[in-house]
Parts: sequence; structure tokens; C-alpha cells
Amino acid sequence: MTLSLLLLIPLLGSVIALFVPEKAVKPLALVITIVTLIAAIPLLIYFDTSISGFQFLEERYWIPTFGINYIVAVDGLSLPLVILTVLLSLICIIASWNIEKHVRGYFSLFLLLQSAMTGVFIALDMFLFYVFWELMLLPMYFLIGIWGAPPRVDADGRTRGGPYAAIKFFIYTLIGSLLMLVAILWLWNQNGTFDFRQWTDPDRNIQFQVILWTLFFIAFAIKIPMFPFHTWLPDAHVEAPTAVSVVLAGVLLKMGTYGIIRFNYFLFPDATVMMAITVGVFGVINIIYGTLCAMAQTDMKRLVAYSSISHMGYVMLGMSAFMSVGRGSAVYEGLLGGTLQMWNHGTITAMMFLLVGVIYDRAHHRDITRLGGLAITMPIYTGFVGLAFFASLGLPGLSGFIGEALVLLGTWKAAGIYRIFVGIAAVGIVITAGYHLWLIHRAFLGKENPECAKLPDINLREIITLVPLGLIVIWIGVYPAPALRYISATMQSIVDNILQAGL
Amino acid sequence: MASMNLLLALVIIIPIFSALLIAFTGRSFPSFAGWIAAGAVLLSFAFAVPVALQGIAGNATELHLWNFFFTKTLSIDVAFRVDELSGIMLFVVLGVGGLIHFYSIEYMKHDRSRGRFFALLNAFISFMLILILGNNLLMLFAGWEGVGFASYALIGFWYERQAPAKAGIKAFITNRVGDFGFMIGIFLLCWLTGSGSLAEINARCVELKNVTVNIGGMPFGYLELVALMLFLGACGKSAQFPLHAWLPDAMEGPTPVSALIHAATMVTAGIYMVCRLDGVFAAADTVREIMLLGALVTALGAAIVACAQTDLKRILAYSTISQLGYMMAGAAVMAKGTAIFHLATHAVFKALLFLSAGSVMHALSDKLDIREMGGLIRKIPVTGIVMIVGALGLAGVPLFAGYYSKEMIIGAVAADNYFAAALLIVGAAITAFYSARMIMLVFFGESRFDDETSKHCHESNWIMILPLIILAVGTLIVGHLHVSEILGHIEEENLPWVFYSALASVIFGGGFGIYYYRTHLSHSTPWKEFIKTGFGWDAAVDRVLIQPITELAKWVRDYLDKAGIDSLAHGMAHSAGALGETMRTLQSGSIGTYLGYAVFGLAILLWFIVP
Repeated sequence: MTLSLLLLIPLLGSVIALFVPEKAVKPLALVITIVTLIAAIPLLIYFDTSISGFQFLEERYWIPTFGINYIVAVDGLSLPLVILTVLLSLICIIASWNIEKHVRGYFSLFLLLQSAMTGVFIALDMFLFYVFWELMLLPMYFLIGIWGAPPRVDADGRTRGGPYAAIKFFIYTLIGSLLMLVAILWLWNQNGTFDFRQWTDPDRNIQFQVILWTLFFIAFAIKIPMFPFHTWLPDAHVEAPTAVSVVLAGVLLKMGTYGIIRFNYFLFPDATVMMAITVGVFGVINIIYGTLCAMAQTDMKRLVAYSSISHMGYVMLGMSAFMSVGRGSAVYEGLLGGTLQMWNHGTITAMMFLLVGVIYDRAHHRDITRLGGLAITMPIYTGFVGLAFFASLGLPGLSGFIGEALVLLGTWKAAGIYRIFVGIAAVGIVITAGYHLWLIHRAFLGKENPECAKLPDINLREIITLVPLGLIVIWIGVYPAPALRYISATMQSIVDNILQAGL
Repeated sequence: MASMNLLLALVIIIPIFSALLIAFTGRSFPSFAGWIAAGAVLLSFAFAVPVALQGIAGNATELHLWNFFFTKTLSIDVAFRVDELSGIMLFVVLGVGGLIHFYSIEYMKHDRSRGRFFALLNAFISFMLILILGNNLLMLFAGWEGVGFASYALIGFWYERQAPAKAGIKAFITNRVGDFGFMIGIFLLCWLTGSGSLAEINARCVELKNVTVNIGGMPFGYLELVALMLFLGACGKSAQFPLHAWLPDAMEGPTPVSALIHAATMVTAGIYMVCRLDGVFAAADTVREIMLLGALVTALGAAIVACAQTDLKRILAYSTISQLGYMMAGAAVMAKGTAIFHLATHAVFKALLFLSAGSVMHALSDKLDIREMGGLIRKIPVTGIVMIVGALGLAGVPLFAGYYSKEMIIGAVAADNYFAAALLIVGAAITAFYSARMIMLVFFGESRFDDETSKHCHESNWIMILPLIILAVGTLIVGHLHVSEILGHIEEENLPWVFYSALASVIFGGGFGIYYYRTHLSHSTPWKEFIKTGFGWDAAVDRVLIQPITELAKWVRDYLDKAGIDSLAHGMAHSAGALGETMRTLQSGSIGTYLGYAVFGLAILLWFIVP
């Protein structure tokens, strides 16, 4: 029942929020998300880390005529992401406390979004999965469109702003979803059920595998977002309100890599082996392309958005390196690191977007060139920025390092061309340090900019949103072993599954 | 042994705890911060003495705390170990570090952010301890990056000014380039030996000497590649050519920071790492030749550049680079005892020189230009005498520390390569020359500063003087300790010509410096200005590396991302829209048009049906 509760409580809250007085909406949303977080705790306690398969399984008939059932469960891959969703939702509700426009609608949509995001990670029935996948689009579209930046015409004559970014996000994701839908329906037609665990077929023709693999892959790649499908992301981030950016970067991007590991890797092992290097190449492109773009940005939020693209590249690189070319044996460190990196990126980027939100609320712009000397005016804020940015650039002792290190360790072990990937990715690490420090230098150090000399320092509510994430970042950085224990068994079985079934 | 474990735990925990304490309370009680910080390091030093002596005696202490992470084939613990090498390093880091902390109490007394300063300084000591005591590669790397961060934050301590903030970035990024190599070296070693443990890696390197690695189809000697990558890391941290340029700029930080981090401890981490992983380097003959070459370029080049500097701290910075080159040369010929010996003596006399420079700055209201000094021996005699002692140590005059350790390095290098040893002897002459030049221009000749400065010129108080005197005494003592023998026998060439020519070069170089600068400054020439910029290195790096990357980033942003991919997406959206627009006009809503379509359609149908 635990998993269903995680879906139902926010869903219920989202309906109730529409009918309570406007003043009570925020406390209601807060209570709902706190209760959901408490409801998620049993997952962490009772999860058996020695089992690689699904746990907390719930199966109910839904539309048996079409082979559609309500099946939810978690394993070591989805558990961290579910916890991340529940945690970030609570933090986002606190971070949204200053929303004044259409309060009911905002919080109702946000709770609906939480429910849909959780659903994506726990659904095992592909119909159910697709419902949640699409359901997530709806609140996202409105949250960016209505509560995002107002429409404006940019220097290049194009209309930008919330509605533009929202529709861009919507169209990109929808195109991907439709490709995936084709694949889902094709597989359903063959097997007569939507339970994806029954879709494996060792004798499936390799051409078909590759076609289906690609259909799924594009849908997920858009979500990651993978070069060249990434341009929706910076726009969506720049125009979205802070809390929406936080879930977008913290949770939604992970759906892409999650989907690939969950479905592509499980269903089409032969195609996965064939395409592994392609995934790795795109991972490396993401890393370098993201860092270069981030380096040239002057909008703080756009910079963080491009850094997300770069960091998701490490996840892709790690998960592509699952077999050793030389010895033909399984390598699972990369996948382990990739999955840990998903969680780490979720927490670190969430912090970074929250921090960008803080400065935007005060200065009403995010232009790095118009900031300066913030360390003098906002010392506590600068301390948090330091923590988040150094975690993001991969300082040992903070969580960003351990994920990247495992990814690179695993990728190196995969031998062959992967070693060149490691070399290129390591160059990316140097440039990554560069743009992070450069941002700190331009916005926080140096002489006070008179324009922002009177800004008040970070307030208690904002500190409350940052402290839990900060503690997680330090804890995983110093003692990552417990976190790895949760995901380790599953990662091993995923890799073994590919190599046993394939070839 | 259990008591040793407890002591070792305390040694590490005390500075960490103190750093956190100051970080959270330093704002409220800034005047206590310095005393807490210095007390913590000295206390830690007191606990470290028995552990370090045990380690030096050959009884290693190991402390396993918790499992850091594990995979199927690799498990890394948070673990520390004190043996001969780390025992010596403990004395250097905590001994010299403690004195510098004590000195800083007075030096930073008037700074409003001294809470932050001491928190960072203690954090630095904590990371440095993790670096030297870490029992496996990951711990070593964690400390390595940690000290890099502390160095970044302390170089940019006065971040309100542009120059320190920029110097901090430069230091961090340059080190990242080195870390790129170090990290790849770590991966290579982890997978080759299936272990992160330093002792195990060293032990297994002999049997693994002939393993080759395939990179994109090309075979390389595995350990050669590892050593090359590790050397790149050492170049970054220990400011070796071509990753040396960050160190002179790092002098923008407070002077105690320059003494502690950028002279005595952190910059020697690269040397320490090479000595720590000597098993790897012993199996990589080709790389050691490269190392020796790099070390010679660094030692000689930096010494020449030091002769042209006019900023007191920059002279000392280039001298540090040069001396690190000597240590690296010792490490490159596998005489790790000499390298560590010179590391220890250098830590003492260079800390002394920097702290004396700080005392000079205090006396002259933060002036650093030696062209505006002169005759200071009459104004601040104590600082003058201890600084002369430090300079004698640096120059390598007999009885003083640097003489013994430098001589040993030259001897060990001579056993490997006469030509290299000859170059190091030339370097020793230049070292003596710029040491003499520095002392003559600062303390002797006529006073070149204005009356206003002269009026405020005063000797520092006892908190600053005491560490100076202790270090000056140390400069006299430490050379006579047999540090190098702790780390095993060293093959040394005891040829008389090496010994006598080294001594002669010091006398000649120093004597010439004293004679040439006895009364006056020399004139500035374009040549000297060019050497002063480090042979134009910064400008070259900027033009060849930094500007192209920045331009590339802008190009990617403007042309590839915005005009390319995003426009393509827009184009597709627009053409879909345009298609819709065209189709829409068909649905005009007028009956006449529709009738027309119907007739047209019927006509086509008939065309097909009627033969």
C-alpha cells in the first residue's frame, strides 16, 4: 500500500486544494507533502538491499480486457528517484511560498505533478506508465506558461517568455511520447499485455529490436535532454518559476535516463549492446557541449541549465559502459555511478536553482554582468552558493565527486574506445571548474556593485529549503556507502541481464 | 597500539572540529578565532609527536574508520596510516603549520574577517592531514582536492579586490589540469592492482612492470602511462613547468597563507605523492627522464626569473618553484630520501623567509616593492637577522639547512646524470645570487622609502617574532638531522668535484650578489622586464589556450546552439505551421468554392472510372 499512498495523497491534496479557502492552500500543500514524505520512510526502512528485483509490488486488475493492470513497485533504480521526488516536492512547496497569483491553481497543479512524477518511476504496466508520463506534461505546461515569465519580444524578434517556453517543452516531449507510444502499442499487440516484464523475447529479430530501441530512446533522450534535442531545456528553465525549475532539473530530467535503463536495457539487450557506444558518444557530447555553452552564458539560470545538460552527460556515459570490450565481462561501476549521479545531480541542481531563485527574487534579474561583490552584501547566501557550486564542480567530500568518479572509474574499466571518452570527459571536468569559479568570481567576489549593495541576505524560509539538501550533499560526499548499498544489487542484475540475454 | 590509534584519530579530528567551531562562531567572537585555531594545531602537534616518532621508527600505525564505497571489485575505506614518510610529513605540516598559525594571530589582528581566515586555515590543515595520512589513493585525492579548495579560498581571501579573486581562479583551474592527469592515473592504478591501498600498489608494481595498455589501438607501457599521468598531477600541485604560473599570483593571499600553503606544505604535496608512489615511478624509466628534464627546466628557469623580480613575495614565490624543481629532481632519480629531506628543510627556511617578509610588510605599511626598501636592518634588526638566516638557508651556505639537503640532491642526481647535476649546480649559484640580492636591497644600502613610511616603521611584537626565532633556530638545526636516511639508503656520487663545485658556486653567486647590490639598484632594461614576466609565459597561455576556449564557447553558444540547432527546431515548427496555414485556406467557408472542389473531384473520379 505504501507506493499507492505516495500516488494518492498528493492526488487527493490536489483536488482538495481547489475547494479550500485561498489562505489555507499553502498550509494544506505543506501538510500534504510532509505526510507524503513520512509515508515514504517505510520504503527506506523495509527495502531489502540484497534483493535485485522489484519490491513493494502491488498488482490490481484495471482493464483486463486490454491487458491493462495497475502494477507498481520499486527496485534499487527507482527507489532513490521516488525519494528524490517526494523530498524535492516538499522543498518546492516551501520555496513557492511567495507565489501570489492564482494560488489554488498553482498548488493544485503542483501536487498533481508530484503524483504523476512518482507514478512514472513506480509504474510497471506500460499503459499506466504512459498515462503518468503524459499526465506530467499537463501541470508542467501550465506551471511554466502561467506562472513563468510574462511574454516579451526579444532582440532577435522572437517572442519569448513563459508561454513560449511551455509550448516548446510540450511539443518536444510530445513528439518523443508519440514515438514511444508506437513502440508500446506494437509490443502490446505482440504480447497481449501491458506488463513490460512479460515483453522480453530472446528471439526477437535484431532489426526490430533496434527500431523499437530507437523509438524508446528518442522519447527518453528528449527528456534527458540529449544533444541535439536539448534546446527546450534552457528556455524552460529561464522562463519557469524557481520551484518548477527545481523539479524540472531535479526530477524530470532523470526520467530520461531512468527510462532508458528500465525499458531499453531490459527489453532489448542485443540492441543495447549494439548501441552502447552511441549512448556513450552522446554522453561525451553532452558533457563537452554543455560545459562550453554554460561557460558563455551571462544569465545565471541559463548557465545552471546548461550545466545540467553537461552533468546528465556523465549519467549517460556511465550507463553506456556496462561491458568490458577486452575481456567481455560485465562492468557495473559505471551504471552504479550513473544512478548515483542522477540522485546527486537532483539534489545539487535543486540547490543551485533555489539559490538562483533567491537572487532573482531580490535583484529581479539574473544577469551575472550586473551583479558583483555579493559576498559582502549577502555572506550567508554566498556560503550556500559555495557549497552548491563546489559540489557541482566535483570537489571530493561533497556528493558530486563520488558520482563522477564512479562513472569515470567504470567507463575506464570498459576499456577500448571508452578510455578515450574518459579522457574527453576529464577535460570537461577542467572546464566545468572554470565556469563555476568564473560565475562565483563575477557575481560574488570583487567590488560591491552599487546596484545590488542593498540586497537583504537570505531569509529563514530559504535557508530551510537549502539545509536538507546541503546535508545530503555533504553526507553522500563523506559516506556514500549506505546510498550505494540501496542501488548496488539492482545495477548488478541489470548489467548481468543485458550480457546474459544478449549475443 | 590501540592508544596510538586513538592519538592518530585525535590528530585528525582536532583541526576538523576547530575549523567547524570557528566557522560557526568566528563571526561572533573573532578575537578568539586565532587562539582557538593556533591552539588546535599545536594540540594536534602534541598528539602527533608520539605517533610520528613511532612511524619514523618503523612501527606504522593504521586507523580504519569506515567503508567509503565499494563495488564488486574495489572497496575503499576511510583509513589513515602513519609510517616513515608520513611521520616526517606530520612534523613538517603540524610543526611549521602550528608556528604559522601562532604568527597569524598577530598578523591578522586587524582584519574584520579573521574568523573566516582561521576557519579556512584550520580546514587546510585538516585536508593536508588527510592528504599525507590517507592510506589509499582516494583518501590522498580527497585531501589533495581539499587543500586545493582551501588554497583557492585563501588566495582570494581579500576578494573585494580583483587581483586576489583572479589569482584564486587561476590556481584552482591550473590545478584542475593537473588533477585531470592525477585522476586518470588513479583509475589506471585502481584497475590494474584491484586495490586502492598505497602499500599494496607499490608492492605489486615490480611484477606489473611489463603490462601494456591498449588505448584506441596503440599499446603503451601501463605503468609508464600511470607515472606520466601522476606526474602531471604533481606538476599542478607542486608548480612545476608547465603548470607553474599560478604560484607567483597566489602571493595575492595573506602572507601567512603564502608561508603555510604556498611554500611549506601544500605545494610539496606533489613531491610527497611521487615519493609515496615510488613503486610506480621506479617501474617507469622513460617518465623519470621526462621528470628530470622538467625539474631542471623548472629549477633553472624559476631561479632566473626570481633574479628579475622586484616584489619581495614574488621573489620568494619563484624561489619556491625553483626549490620544488630540486626536490622533483631528487624524486626523479629515485632518491626519495633527499627529496623529502629538502622538502623538510625548505619548509623551515622558506616559512621563515615568508614570515619575515610579512614582518617587513607590517613595518612598511604593506609595501612589497624592494626598490622602495633598503637599510631596514637599522630599523627592524630582529626581523633582519632572522631573514638573513633564512636566506643563508635558501642559498645553501654550510651550517644552514639548505646546504645539506641541496648538496645531497645534487649528489644523487650526479649518480644518475652528470650533466643534470652540473645544471643544478649552476642553479645553486643563481639561487645564492638572488638570495643575496634580496637581502641587500631590503636590509642594506640607503633607505629608499619616504619619511611618512619611515615614521611608522616598527619592529613586530613578540607573537610574530617568537615563531621567527624558532624557525631561525630550526634552520640551523634541521640540516643536521639525518632525515634522508629514514627512508632508506641513497645511492650518492661522492665525487669531490660535485661537492667542491657546488660550494664554490654558492660562494661565487652569493658574493657577486652582495658585491653588485651593495649600494644601489640596477637599472631596468627591456630584457629584465621580459624575464620578470616569467619569459612571457602568462601572455602566451592566454593567447594559445584561454582565449581560444572562451571564443569557442561563445561560438558554440551563438552559432551552433542558437543559430544552428534551435533555429532548426524553430524552422521545423514554422514549416509545420506554414503547412497548416496553406491547408487552412482550402477551407474558405464559401459554398461556391466547395462546389468547385466537388466538381473538380468528380471530374478526376470520372477520368479514372470512364475508360
